[in-house]
Amino acid sequence: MSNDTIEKLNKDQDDTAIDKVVKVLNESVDGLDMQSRDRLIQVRQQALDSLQAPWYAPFMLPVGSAVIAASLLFAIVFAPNTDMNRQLAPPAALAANAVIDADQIALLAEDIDLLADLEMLQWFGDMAEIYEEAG
Amino acid sequence: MHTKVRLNDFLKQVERKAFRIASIAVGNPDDAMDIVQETMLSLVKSYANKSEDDWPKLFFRILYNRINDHFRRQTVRQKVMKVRSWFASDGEVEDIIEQAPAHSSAEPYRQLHSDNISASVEDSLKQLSPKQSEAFLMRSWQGLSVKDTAKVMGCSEGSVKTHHARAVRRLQELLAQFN
Repeated sequence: MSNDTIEKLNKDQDDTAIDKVVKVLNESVDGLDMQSRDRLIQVRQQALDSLQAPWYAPFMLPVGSAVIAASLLFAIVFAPNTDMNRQLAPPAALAANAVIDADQIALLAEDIDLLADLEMLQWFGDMAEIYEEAG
Repeated sequence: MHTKVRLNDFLKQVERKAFRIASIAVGNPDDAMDIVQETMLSLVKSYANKSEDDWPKLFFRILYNRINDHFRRQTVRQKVMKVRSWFASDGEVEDIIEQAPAHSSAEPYRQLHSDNISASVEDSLKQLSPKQSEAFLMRSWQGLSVKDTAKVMGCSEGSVKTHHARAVRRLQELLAQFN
């Protein structure tokens, strides 16, 4: 027999042995008793339950709650109107109030300018009188 | 959530084989179940974020590490028992393991697998060296490549081929004897 033939025979024998053992092992796995199968399912479930959540998961609820509480507090304290409905109004309404306030402030500023002008006139008048009296 | 589903599928696929490998190695279904449980927990806790392709390698690496740990613990326990026996008061050997009741579940398990061929194959696998058995089960049964088996076993690819070839030869001889 040539070397190739011997090698092929050896390989065939190897494959036969492997197939035989693998077949028996597969059968033993398929024929696993119910108790072991159930236990394996439990074990797998326990392992999967231990799958770790992201590190920030425990902080998500308290941080979220704090942000919402702070937003509400801000809206109540800094709302332009004391009316409760206005205080809890949506951002668009708050912005509208802010525009109105800006207009009012502008008008007020104009009034102040006017007053200032009047005061200046008064002051010039007073000064003129003083100069006149002084000759 | 998606990882959990994929991990579940993977573990479902390998759990029975892992249990059989551990059973053949340690010879006790309860110890084997503990080893599989520790392996699953370790994989899920430490390697869930790894690539899905790496899971089989990692899983079986952990499994064999746990099996080795089991034997190490047994060796330590035996040494402790030996020391205890030296200090036994009346000079009689006090072997706690020997005095312990027989394992309740070992006998039904053996009976369940009392089929001649199955028993002879299992006995043949037990007679292989740990490395030979590992190489054979990973390569021929689990179907891992030589490269992946080398990673699982923590040795070179050449060593895997040698261990596998020797395992096959030895199995041939042993099965011929049983036949």
